[in-house]
Amino acid sequence: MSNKNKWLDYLLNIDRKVVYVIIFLSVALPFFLNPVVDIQPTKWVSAVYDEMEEAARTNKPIIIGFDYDPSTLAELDPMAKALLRHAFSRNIKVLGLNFIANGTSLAATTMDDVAKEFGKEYGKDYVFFPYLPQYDLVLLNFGDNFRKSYTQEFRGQPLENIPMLSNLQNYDDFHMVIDLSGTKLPTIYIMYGVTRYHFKFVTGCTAVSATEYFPYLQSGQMIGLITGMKGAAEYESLLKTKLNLPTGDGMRGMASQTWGHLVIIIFIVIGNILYYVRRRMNMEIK
Amino acid sequence: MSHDPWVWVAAFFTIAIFSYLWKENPLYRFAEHILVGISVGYLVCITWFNVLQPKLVEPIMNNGEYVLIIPGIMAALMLFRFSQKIGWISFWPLAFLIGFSGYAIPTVIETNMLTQIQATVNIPLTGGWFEIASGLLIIVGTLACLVYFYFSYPHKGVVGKTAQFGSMLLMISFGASFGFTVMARISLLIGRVLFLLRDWLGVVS
Amino acid sequence: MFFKKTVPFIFTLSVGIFSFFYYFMPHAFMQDLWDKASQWAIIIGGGAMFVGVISMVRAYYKRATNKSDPNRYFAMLTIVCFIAMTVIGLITGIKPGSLFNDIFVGIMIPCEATMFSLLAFYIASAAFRSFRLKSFSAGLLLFSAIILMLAQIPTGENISPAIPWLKGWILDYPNVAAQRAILIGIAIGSVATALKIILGIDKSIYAGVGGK
Repeated sequence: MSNKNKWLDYLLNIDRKVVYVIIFLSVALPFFLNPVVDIQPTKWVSAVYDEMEEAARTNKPIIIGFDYDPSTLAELDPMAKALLRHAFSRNIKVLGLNFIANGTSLAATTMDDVAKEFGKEYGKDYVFFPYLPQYDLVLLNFGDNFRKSYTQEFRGQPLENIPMLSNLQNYDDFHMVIDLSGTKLPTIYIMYGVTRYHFKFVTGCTAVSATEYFPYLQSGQMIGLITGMKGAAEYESLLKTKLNLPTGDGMRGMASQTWGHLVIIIFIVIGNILYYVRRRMNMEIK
Repeated sequence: MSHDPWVWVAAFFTIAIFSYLWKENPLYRFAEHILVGISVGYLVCITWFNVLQPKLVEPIMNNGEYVLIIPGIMAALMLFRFSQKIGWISFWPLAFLIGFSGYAIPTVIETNMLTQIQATVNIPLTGGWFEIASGLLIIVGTLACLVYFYFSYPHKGVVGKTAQFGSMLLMISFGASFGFTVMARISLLIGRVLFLLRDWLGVVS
Repeated sequence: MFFKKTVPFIFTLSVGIFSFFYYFMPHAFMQDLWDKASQWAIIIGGGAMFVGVISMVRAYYKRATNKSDPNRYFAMLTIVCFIAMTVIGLITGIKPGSLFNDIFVGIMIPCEATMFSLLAFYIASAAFRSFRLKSFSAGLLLFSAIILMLAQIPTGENISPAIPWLKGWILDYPNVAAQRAILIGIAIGSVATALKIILGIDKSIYAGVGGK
């Protein structure tokens, strides 16, 4: 009995470094195993894909808000790259926005890197607007004319010199707006954009904030939602099956996601079993 | 293995931050303090090139829009925040910015109240019994959760039972949130491990 | 007292009322006034960044000059890095390919991303030590969490197609009900707070000067 007690105490109070090593290995080792190749997309991710295809059919540009910083890079950058690959492969022009100061250079680099893959030219096929504070006012003014808030693009050129922007004025000239963010910015887009100007709006969010956007999906204020790394993997899976585009980091990380999740579930189960065994033993002693 | 020196720098800082898991150490503190200094410097440059230069300096110097000197002065007045005696001057530009929340009042009411209530009321209770029950769950569930948050009336009797049902739905929602949070956290770790194994060491494709 | 409390209140009230009525009045006069006011707000918002910068520099300068602080050399390092990054950015520019951008990619991204990736370890530790099935509510929470976690990975589909279906149902129905109630509650609270601030009932925002 005292041996059992000792093991129980040891396991219940196990050094946290042991837990850290187990979770690290569960994430690192799957990279050396066979990768996950097929993920079934959910209806909200499929809705985003369909809307993007509609943008290609109507030949209208789209807006993507790259509102993330390095702290949410792992979840949102694969999403951003998948959306950009889809857009550029279907010759959809992209206007990039940014309201998170720490993510400005990140967004500019991501756009340039993916554009290079498809031979797209800055100013003709895509353009990136600089960071501005007071995003609520900027989004509101965008609905009238984005030139009220922006006088030049990120590289410093006046907007009049950008060929892509010559016939564009406000949300009506774009097929849809996508916001990729780990903050409350998608809600701000809805409040100051969708409510007044009624454009099609899609969110790519971190998994942490996903549950709070489902009311907007149900009410129709949002038409699609891509959630975290799994959402990115689902979108990449759609691109692979329908357009034969290569998958990216979203799909690459799914094997590690699988093992990481299983380890956490096992920890929860074992932790609870040990807790109840210990509680029963204490009751027996009493 | 990468030959890019910046990848090696990135790998060094990644490992330095990871070393915190062992225990707090000078390597971690070194990386942390560099991050703070560089972040603030980054913010200054981004704000200068993206906001102040194109919207304040260039219009005044090149286009003669001297009226913009007023918001420039107001922005400078915010620095009086650091003075004990005349710090109240910093409230003036702050008051100007806060006033814009007046637009948020009707916007929030329309976006997060009226449209949401409309969507709840307009749920089509059609289809099989399961679809109807699920639709009713949203209507009744939203009311129940709102009752749960109403603390001006004691949660007893019918009100108590309704609030209890609301709290059950909240627990299901928070459980879903927790499940997503696990994926979010593991994703962040996957990002760093992929960088170390692929971009730095080159041992995975 | 007039300049300290009344003038800010007049600013907040006048801009607040103007913003409120702008929502309902799409006239050209209102639009022109709004365009100018929002331009000013963007410039002031940009300038407000310097308050944070000076705050940081003051705090770290104090630590750097305090001989008894064990981290004084680290504080000096922070200030040196801040000055270096600012000068580099102002000289080389911020575009991709510049030294400024290289430092962002080489130092800022890994540091910030790794800081947040530590949370994965903490959640694993919390899963083992803290998440206990102690009540019916906790049971509901854990059941919902485990269904979500299993549905996120291919294993869930392999165990049963009911798991991803159940995940979709939980998110589209009970979750919508709960989150909608939270959304409405927060909306009511934020409208009440905004009204209190604009009408001058709540003046707590005008506090905390000195920055010691």
